[in-house]
Amino acid sequence: MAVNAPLGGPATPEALPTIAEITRLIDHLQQVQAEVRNIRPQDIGASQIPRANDQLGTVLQTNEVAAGNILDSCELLQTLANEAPEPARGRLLGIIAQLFEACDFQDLTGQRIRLVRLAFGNIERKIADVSAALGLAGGPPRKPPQTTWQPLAPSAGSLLAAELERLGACMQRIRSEILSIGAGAEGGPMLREMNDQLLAVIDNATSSANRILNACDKLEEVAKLMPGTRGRRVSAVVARIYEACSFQDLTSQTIAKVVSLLAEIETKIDHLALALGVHPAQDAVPREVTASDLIEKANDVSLLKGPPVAGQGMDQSEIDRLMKQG
Amino acid sequence: MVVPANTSVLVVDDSKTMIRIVCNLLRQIGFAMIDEAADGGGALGLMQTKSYGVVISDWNMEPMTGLALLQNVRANERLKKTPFIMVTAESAIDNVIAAKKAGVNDYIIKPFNAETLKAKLVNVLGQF
Repeated sequence: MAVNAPLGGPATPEALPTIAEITRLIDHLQQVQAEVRNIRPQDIGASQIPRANDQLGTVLQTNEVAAGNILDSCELLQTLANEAPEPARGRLLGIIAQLFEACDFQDLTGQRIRLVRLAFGNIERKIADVSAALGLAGGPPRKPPQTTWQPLAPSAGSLLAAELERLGACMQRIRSEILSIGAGAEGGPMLREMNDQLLAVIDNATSSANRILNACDKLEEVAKLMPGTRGRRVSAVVARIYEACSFQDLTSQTIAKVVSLLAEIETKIDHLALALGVHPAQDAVPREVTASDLIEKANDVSLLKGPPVAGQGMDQSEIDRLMKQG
Repeated sequence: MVVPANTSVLVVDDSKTMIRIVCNLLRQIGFAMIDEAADGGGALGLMQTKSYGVVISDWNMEPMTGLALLQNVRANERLKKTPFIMVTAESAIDNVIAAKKAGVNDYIIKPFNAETLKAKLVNVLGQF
């Protein structure tokens, strides 16, 4: 932005009000620029989001390995169940089905993290745009260019007015970008949606781990009823499943770090909005959703919502009712 | 409970874990002929070479989503009557309506259990 462009020289009287206005705007922009520089929004894209993405990558990997180990164990248990006499066989197969069901945490976690990563990418792009527009795209603060005073041409008044309009439009664009950082796909607060998805990852992992551990308790009971090596082999497999359940602790701890990074990012964005005179709660304009939006959304993976957080979306019985309607 | 021996099932999901879960639950229910695909494109390829008694597909896959797969299946004269069950975490009403309009036979929301999967298969294939 040419906020430091050379201006000045003897002015015609009719240009004076415009010069005063543009001088005031440049002062304001320089003040905003200084405040924003202190906030260091470029750190969000340079440091905080990459750190968050690394942590999320660790969670994905941990969950994939854990789910793989538990499923391997389930398949081994199925072999043992098929060799076992009734009623142990039937009980084992029932418990194995519960274990299989509980392993869906890996898929749900993957989908939630994909959504959060998409949102991080979106924030990163917008912050980069804002930083570039404010001359903060990296490197040390720029010095104002050397001013060379030239006599003002007669047409300078209209040129200054045009420049004033351009600067105003630029500020408006920056404010809109800041405002849109906080807005989610449905016009709701995006950072809140991300936070909810991350907390839901912890809830899913905890719930799945509890279901798996309960199933393990039942397996141990059945193992005691199985004579000889069969019972011991079941117990050995159960031990492997217990080990794999450490995914829950690792997931919770790592996601807690990402939630903390998200809070830091939110604070920076709030400060940025304050410096730029943006008030998200008052200035947000609800976006109208059109029929074409819905169709586009239905076929665009990046616009899918992923697993619902608590209290959102339809449950199976509601979906069943909807499916039965003509 | 006896599943028709010739009922082959195509399971479509980009999550290897979900493929393993669904395939194992299907085996426990009694299905023996189960194929897998990692996205809609792969599933369509398999469907060109083999007839399936039912397709169980995730929605959220790339490059071809489960919804696009369903639309392709319904638009294909030879495949259009293939029963299709969507298994997805997408529970927004807009998504369910979109799937219904595209011709889905049933819709299972993740997370689900073996009982729900079996109930939907019975709904689509008839009592077995």
